Formats: sequence, structure tokens, C-alpha cells
Amino acid sequence: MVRFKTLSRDEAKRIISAFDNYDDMEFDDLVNHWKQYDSVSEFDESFVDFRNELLAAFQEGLQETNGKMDYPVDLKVGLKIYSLLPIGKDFSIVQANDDDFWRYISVKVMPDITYLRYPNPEKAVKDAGGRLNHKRFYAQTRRIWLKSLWWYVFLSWQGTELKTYNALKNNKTDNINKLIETPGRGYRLMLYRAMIAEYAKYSASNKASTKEFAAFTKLNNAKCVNVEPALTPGGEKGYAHRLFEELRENGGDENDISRGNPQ
Amino acid sequence: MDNLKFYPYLTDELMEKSGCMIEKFQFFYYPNDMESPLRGEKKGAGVIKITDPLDMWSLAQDGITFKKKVSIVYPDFLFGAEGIACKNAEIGICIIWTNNRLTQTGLVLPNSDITTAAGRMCYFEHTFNPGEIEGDLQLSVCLYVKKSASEILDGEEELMNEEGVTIGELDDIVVDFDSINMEFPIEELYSDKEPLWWIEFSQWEDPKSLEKFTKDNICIYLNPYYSACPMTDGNIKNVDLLIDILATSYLMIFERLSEEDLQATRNDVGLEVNSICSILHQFIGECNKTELRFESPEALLRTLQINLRAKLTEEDK
Repeated sequence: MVRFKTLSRDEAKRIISAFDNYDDMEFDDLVNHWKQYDSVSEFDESFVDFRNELLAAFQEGLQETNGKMDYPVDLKVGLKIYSLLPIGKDFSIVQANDDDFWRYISVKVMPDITYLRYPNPEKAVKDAGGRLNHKRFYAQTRRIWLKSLWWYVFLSWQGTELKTYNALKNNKTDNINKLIETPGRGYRLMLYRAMIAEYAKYSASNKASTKEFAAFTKLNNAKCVNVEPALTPGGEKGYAHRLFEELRENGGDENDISRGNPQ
Repeated sequence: MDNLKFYPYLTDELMEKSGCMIEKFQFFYYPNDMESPLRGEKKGAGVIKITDPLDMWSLAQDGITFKKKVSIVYPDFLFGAEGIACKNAEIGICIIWTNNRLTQTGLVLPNSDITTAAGRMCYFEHTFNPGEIEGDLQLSVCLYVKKSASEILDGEEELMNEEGVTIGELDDIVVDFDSINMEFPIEELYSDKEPLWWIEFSQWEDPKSLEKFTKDNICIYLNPYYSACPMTDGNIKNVDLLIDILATSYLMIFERLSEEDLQATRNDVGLEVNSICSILHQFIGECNKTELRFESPEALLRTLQINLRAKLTEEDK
């Protein structure tokens, strides 16, 4: 198990901004190191095996996509990082929510794959002359890439890694953002897992779009203002099933969810 | 918007008529398996701060247990056309908890729920283990439709009859452990090169959902290098200046929002828990000394000053 190391936002910003300020030759050199999976930075020795396992998962994902940076890479890395950091006596939900922990991993331990996955800076950073994607490294709590993957798998967990993989394999990267960024009043863990299972059943036999998933989460948030899913017939599973049925009856329109809300 | 209901919902009158008696939440921890009570001190409207008389307790190390008793002496008044549920329906009582810091929510059902000739009595007890929650905890005691009525009688057409839907709130408190949501993010930074105070914002992409009201996104810096610095080591030394700084800071934040985001903030439309706009919405709701006036920056600054003064001086008392 890794030691719980942290990196503050200011420290992370300082390191990433220093990379941003490299001249062209220095930056190309840095990127070449990262492309050869050389993290460049120093990190706590307890992360050595952790890093190697994540690198292997990243490369496995890339093989699957023939080198394209796409959702299967996210899924492989997400499942691996969750298996390395399961909730238990050594890792709590409080720790999983600590951005400074994920900043340490993103900036110090895994900067290479974070960069390779998101090589382009966001617009504001680019306009200011920056080169790295600050949001994905450290700046935005729900967009720190490795943190978002951990939470995606945690919220989607189906009991085993294989079952979780099967439930998530037909999704896309946008599903990660939609799931993480639409907590409503807060994540209801068992509900999220039931919703993922329900959506997986549908996406296995249909060409489901991210728009449908977005509508699914949005309809859920609208309903949860007054409804407690666990208290409805069949609990969370029954609720998730009815929610999806309702969405399909409405034609999966994200903007037409008002009918379902018992206000 | 969340409070707008299009079906009959529990009112204060109905609570009184049905004889709802709500005991205060009690909090405990268990060092060496011995029950040790924690003290809840009122910090503001509906907000309590937990302290340990023995000064040993830590949420992270010990977790926390709450206990709660709810009794309804005349539950029959809750049913029928004048109530909130159909005569043949069943009403359940639960506690919905929300931990904003960790964006988690969950449900606690009663350990016992007994109805006798003396009325209905529910008892709740729940433990959050170490590492499960952090920062804050909202506890809302709710009534919900547990079992829908198979037959809707005359006059009951407007009543909610869908299982799992909440039809009333008996009690609602926010427990502040060390919450980011309760206080403005303030840092003290000693420097002879910096001014007395300043504020920093991050690049906001969507303050309704993406950016939280945390020091990553908003932070006032106070500089104790100057003798006039209004706060040192967390202790307020000059409340008038602090009010001034906070009012100016809130003004800058409101001014920074787009018109659309400001409207969403004021009306609570599409706000994610913990987001900048949701905390601002909560702040607007707490400004009860005088209504915040958004028609001009000068009117807003003036009303912010009045409310912050009331808030800070009330907390002092």
C-alpha cells in the first residue's frame, strides 16, 4: 500500500507552471522523457509498484485502441487505480476525496501518462502561454484525471472487477464526466451502482449515446429533489429500472425531464 | 425552487395539530467502547458546532454517533384530505443525511418505530465510522409515503400517493465539524511586500457546478504584517474592518457572475452541492437582517454590510 502523500494546490501549480515556462527545447525534452514513461520527478518509494501497475494498465489500454487515447485507456487505468486503492482500513472515502493526494499522484508520480492522456492545455491556459492541462493535473477537483477515474469506478462498482468492466465497457469518456459531475444533492452510492447496471443492460443491446446517459443522470437529479430512491418499490434497483423506462418513453430527451418530477 | 411543492406538504400548523415532538439530536463517540457524549453548540440558524467536553474527540479518529427520538401523539391528523397522505396510505419517517464536503448523501431508517394508544414513537441511532464523513453533516428528519393507498378517497386527489416521495420535514440541522461551507476561505499571509488584504479567484468555468466554494477558487488573504490586520491566528481583532473586507469580497464575487449565473444563484436553479453559486445561494438565504439588493453595486454593498454585521456580531454573542 502506498503512503498517503499530498501536494498542495500551490505546490502543484508551481511545478506545472515551471514546466509551462520551459523553452521549446526543454519542453520537447520533457515530453520525450514522458513518452518513454520516465516520470522525471522524484516521488515516495512506496509508489514504485503502484506506478508500474498503472503504467502497465495504461499500455494495455493503448494496445486495445491501437495507440489512440480513448475511453478504453481510461477504463483500464480506472479499474487498476481502484484495485490499488480500494476503500478499506488503509484508504477511506475522506482520503479519496482529498485533492492534494491526487495532486501528488498526478504531478509527482504519474505526470507522464497524465500528459499523454491530455496533451493539450485548456483554452485559458493556452491563451496565457501555458502548455499543460492544468485542470487534469491539479486545478479542478472533479477533472483531475486519475481522481475522476477512481471515483468513476468506485461509483460504478458491481462487486468484482470483471463485472464492473462489463458494465462500463460500452461507455465513453463523456460518461465519466456526466457521472462524476452530476451528484445532485450528493452521491447515493447504491443508486449510482444500480443506475450503471441498468444503463449497461441497455447499452449492451443498443447503440446508446452519451446524450441518453446525460438525460438519465439529469432526470435522476430532478426526481431526487422529492424522492428517496431507496424508499421506492424495489429500492434503488427498482427505481433505476423505472427511471430508464421513463426516459425511453420520453424518447431520451435531456431537455424534457419535467414530467417525471413529482413536485 | 427545491422548496416548491405541488402537493400538500407538512406545515407548522399540521405539525402542532398532530402533536409532533422532536427531541434534539444527541451526539456521542465511544473511546474504549465507553459512551461519551459530545456537546452541540448553536452557531447560527440551524447550525451547530460539535465539541467534546473532554477535548479528546476527533471525527477522523473516532467517527460520530447520533441518536434521535421523534414522537407523533396524534398521527391520524396526518392522513386524509386535510393531511398529507391518503387515509389508506402508510407514512414512514426517516433521516436523510448529506455530507457536502464529500458530496455524499444517504438514508437512516428508525431502529424502532412503535405505535401505541399514546401515539407513534420512532428512535434513530446511527454511527458514521472514522473516514466516512468530513467537514459538515446535514440531518433532515423527513416523512415520506411508505406505502401508497390502494384506494384514493374523495378529497384526497391532491395528496401525494407515490412511494418514496417525501411529504414533510420535521427537523433539519447542519452540524459544522470544520466545514469549508460555513466560513469564507481566509488565509493569513505575513509579508512586508503585500497589501493589508487582497482576494484571489481561480479561473471559473462554471461556478454553478464545477467550482467549489473553497480556497482553491476563492480566497481572501489577510496580512498580519500590518497592525490593523483584522484577524490573527484565526482570532478577530477588528470586526469592523473584517466586515468591510468580507462585504467587498462578496460584492466582487457577485459582480464576477454572469447575469444568467446570478439569476440561477438567486433562484436556486441547477446548482450543484458545494458549488460557488450554491454556497452563495445559501448565504443569500441567511441574510435576514435586510434583503440583499442586487439592483446596483452600491445597493448590494450596503445591504451586504448590514447583513454581515448582524451575522458576525450575532456569532460573537
